[in-house]
Amino acid sequence: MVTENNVPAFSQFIKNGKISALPKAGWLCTYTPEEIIIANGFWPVRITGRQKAKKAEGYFPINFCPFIKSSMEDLLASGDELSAVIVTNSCDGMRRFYDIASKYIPDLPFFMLDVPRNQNEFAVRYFANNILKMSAFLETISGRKMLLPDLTSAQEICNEKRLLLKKLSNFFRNDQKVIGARNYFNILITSMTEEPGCFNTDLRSYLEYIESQSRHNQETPAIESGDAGSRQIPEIMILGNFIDEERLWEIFDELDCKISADDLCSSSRYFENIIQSGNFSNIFGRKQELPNGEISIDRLLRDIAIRQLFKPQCMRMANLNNKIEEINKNIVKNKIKGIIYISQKFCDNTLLFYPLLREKLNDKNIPSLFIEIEHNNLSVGQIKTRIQAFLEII
Amino acid sequence: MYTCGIDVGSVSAEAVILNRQDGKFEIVAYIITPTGGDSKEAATNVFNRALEKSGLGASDMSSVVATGYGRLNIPFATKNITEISCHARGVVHYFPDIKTVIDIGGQDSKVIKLDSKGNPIDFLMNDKCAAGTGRFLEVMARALDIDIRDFAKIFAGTSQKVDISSTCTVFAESEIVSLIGHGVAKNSIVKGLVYSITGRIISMVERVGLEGPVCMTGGVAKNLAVVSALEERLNLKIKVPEEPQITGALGAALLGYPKE
Amino acid sequence: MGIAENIKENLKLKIQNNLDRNYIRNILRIIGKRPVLAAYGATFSSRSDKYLNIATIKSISCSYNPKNTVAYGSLFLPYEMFHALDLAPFLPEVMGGFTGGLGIADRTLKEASARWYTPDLCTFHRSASGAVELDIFPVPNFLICSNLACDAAQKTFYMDAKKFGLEDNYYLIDTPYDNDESSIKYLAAQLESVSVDICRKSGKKLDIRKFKKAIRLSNEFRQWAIKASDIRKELCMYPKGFDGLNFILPFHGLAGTKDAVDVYKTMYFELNGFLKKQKRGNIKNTGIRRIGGGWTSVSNVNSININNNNLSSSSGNAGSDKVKKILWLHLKPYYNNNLFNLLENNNYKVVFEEISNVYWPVLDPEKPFESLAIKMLSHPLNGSVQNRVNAILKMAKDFNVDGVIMFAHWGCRHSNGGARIIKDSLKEQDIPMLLLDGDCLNKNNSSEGQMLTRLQGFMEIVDARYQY
Repeated sequence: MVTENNVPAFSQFIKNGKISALPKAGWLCTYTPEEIIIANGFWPVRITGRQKAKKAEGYFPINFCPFIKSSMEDLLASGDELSAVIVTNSCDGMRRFYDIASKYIPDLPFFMLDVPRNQNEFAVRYFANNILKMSAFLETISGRKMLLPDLTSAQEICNEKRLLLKKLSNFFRNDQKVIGARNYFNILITSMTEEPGCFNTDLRSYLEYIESQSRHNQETPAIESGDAGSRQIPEIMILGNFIDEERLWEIFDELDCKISADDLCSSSRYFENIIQSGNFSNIFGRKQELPNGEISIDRLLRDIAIRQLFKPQCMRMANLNNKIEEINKNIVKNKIKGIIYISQKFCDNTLLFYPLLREKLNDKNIPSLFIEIEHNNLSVGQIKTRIQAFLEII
Repeated sequence: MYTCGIDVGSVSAEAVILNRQDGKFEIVAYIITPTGGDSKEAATNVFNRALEKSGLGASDMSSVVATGYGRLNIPFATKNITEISCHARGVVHYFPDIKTVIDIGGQDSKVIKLDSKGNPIDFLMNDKCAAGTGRFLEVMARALDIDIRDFAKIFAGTSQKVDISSTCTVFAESEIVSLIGHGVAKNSIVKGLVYSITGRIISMVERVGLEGPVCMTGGVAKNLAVVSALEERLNLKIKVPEEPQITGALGAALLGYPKE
Repeated sequence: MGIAENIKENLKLKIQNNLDRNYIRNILRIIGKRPVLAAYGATFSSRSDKYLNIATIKSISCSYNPKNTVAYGSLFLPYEMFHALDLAPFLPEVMGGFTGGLGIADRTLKEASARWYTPDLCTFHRSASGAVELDIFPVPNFLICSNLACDAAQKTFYMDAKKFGLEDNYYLIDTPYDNDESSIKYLAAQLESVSVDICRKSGKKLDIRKFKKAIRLSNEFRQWAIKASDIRKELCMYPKGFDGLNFILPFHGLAGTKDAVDVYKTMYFELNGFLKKQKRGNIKNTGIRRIGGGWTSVSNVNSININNNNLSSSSGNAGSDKVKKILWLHLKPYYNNNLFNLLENNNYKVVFEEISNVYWPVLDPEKPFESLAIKMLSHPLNGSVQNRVNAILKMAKDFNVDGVIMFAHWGCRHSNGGARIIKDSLKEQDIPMLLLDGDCLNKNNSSEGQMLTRLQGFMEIVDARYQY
């Protein structure tokens, strides 16, 4: 596969990931702290609902989150490759996933990580304690204790991955045609499933390659940002939940538009917000009691809890005004002309945010397109027509 | 001793007149007609025509058992029993060892689980949406402008299939129109449709738990495309009675006899 | 139609024609007056029903009275806290159910759709949101919700808060998943800080004595509720008009009030009277109305009797004489329907409902916030579905039921989502369960014919179990 500008797809750069001998631990939601999985000696693998739900249909009602059904199908098909699964109490779909998967796949150990919806001191303390429980669960499976160096090195790996993905995403933003939407979103999914250390190496070399190519190809050396308006390419933002549809991204590659911002559970909500220990001490407007520089597991867990709770938030969180503010900032910063809001069917959290957002966007004269999809079941023709019509309008 | 079973469904109405002699049952006559707008009239009509065909009179019937969605609306019925019990009984008459019955009718589809004695122990019916029913196939055949009877031939002769994304009939219809608009071959759409309807049925079977042997009844059982797609997905052979459409009425007639 | 029904029908029509907050407030002001309320109460033939209806009207009147500090609350919150804070609770989800009974759900749902609320969302929430947008519901001062059982309330409440410009008075009680020490601590801290915040905003001081009082009343209610359900373990004969599925408010909005205690105390004495009568043998076996009958069973499947005014004839027998006991899960349709007639006509009785289950331990008035946290965390709908399964299995065993019926409300991620596990778990105990898909308030979203067929088919299966 080659993108429009003849840059090879990232898949050709994957060298090491597949050969790691580490035991795998599955996870589903970006509120899962990946560093804890890594620090306990596991290869974190996001369950992304690759399989079309067939057998899983029997376990859930028809009107139920299609991503959850597909994820169940994944586990039914290849759950035996995993040593454990971390589920989060993030939404109704996830709760039922835990219930059903743990009952009907009894040999696979599951852990339910409770994630608060409020963002305050109580919530941080409670969440940090839950993360500790999650680590204890993984310790019982690995048979060894997580030590401070394990956690600090895991955090380094995660931070590096986040930085690399951030770089990739800036690159994509500035010159979408070089990387291509399909390739970009594929890389993001890969980043959640490949062995993290190996992935970082692969992505680093990919980014270097692309940068050199792009220098070659472009006569103008500086990367333009922001004057895309003069070229009349509509700059849009994509907002939604877990969206991993190759055909959908191909539509964006085929149409003339620029995805200047994306806020999905399968994109920026995964990699935004990088932890540097001690950085978050002032988040509640008061000084951290701990002396600076003294690093302990407790301190790191607290930082992780804060990072997770304050990253670009999922619509599940209590304060929807914060979400609106995040989106507003994005609109201003990236000069967004229109928003495409994509949701999985039956995701109440995401779907119930739209009426609120729509109203706020109307106030600002930003048009939005609402698309409901079923995971792994895209009706390409209809959706292409709708996106194209929307781009014509803006 | 004669009994009559009348099954008034949303699309068709059936009557079966049954005779029992020396412990053996014999179908004396049966009638299938479209239900039309008036279920009471349809019931009277099939009853009279079945009597006429058999040369018997209403007074010869020791019982008249009504079933189907119109069962509550038949004044001359001596009692009414649901399609669930009737289909189960009708199937057991032909195949005593059946454990799972798949019945796909016009508006309803159901999966019935039987115990070792052939008694129903659990069942599931489709939700209110018509996506897993005969109606779905009819609407789609019309949208494609293909005779529904050709489905089997097309299904067997086509390897390509498209995924039909929708779980809803109305939605699927517009999707098909869009697929045709994009120049997708009709044959692969047919194949996709058949898989789509069987997908709905399979998920019901999964929910009650698959246990063979499996029998299929109802009008859609005559559609070999659906039967073979189901066989393929369930990975077993499906038994179909000679005239699957009268299974409900036959079961009703059988249940009209006192228990031995 | 009795007098009570007549009055209700009349009110219904009046409200339908004057869909407006002030109009409803005026109606409530008139009915809420003591003599009128007493006269209204006198129209109910069951005393528990009468007390329930009076308490409900009183509670709703309070929330429509602008003199009170009104707080919207989602189901499963500890309402003891509301009463201790002198907040008049208003429960949009319950009132969303009322829109079904009042025959205005099609309008509220339409309004919600016009405002981009997803049509796949549970109609309780959708209808409530539509009613808020249509200015039918009272104006709140505070909005408190939880994520216990489902995600929908926290989102719709936020939207309501925005509509009233009260985003700062919106509180989400973030309910932890597990019922353990750290969860209790986290939850109790939230309950306390929300209480303090509400007091601060209302210019009052938090009065811990009021919490103690509410908790004492809550304990008293609990005791009567347990006594009343104990009686129902033996009772087959019920007062006319009694329907356990109506008794929602005493467990929710009225928790921590004298009214809740009175309703259940009344229920206990009334049901006890019926139990005595039943034991004296005045009424044989059952008081359930039966039509037809007299036939003996002619096949291994009994004919099910659907006779009643709306559903036309079938002559048949009504199964055996034994009353079959049903445990009812989740709620029921709040519009006119024939499900319960079909059950009654065939000698089936709903002997207990999931919503009548006392699931929490005695609360400690000395530790109010901790106690209320424990109450919330004990709810079987919190955490894993296994909690609910355990509660259901215990009820099924305690009431020795012949079958379980779950009315799976469209779009309910808990009932629908957990149905498979609940059904399988009951099957392991050899208890048949019927999953009745439908919609509690939107008649257009349920096919009655199909529901009746399912119900009849289920009764045929349960009846057949008595044939061997």
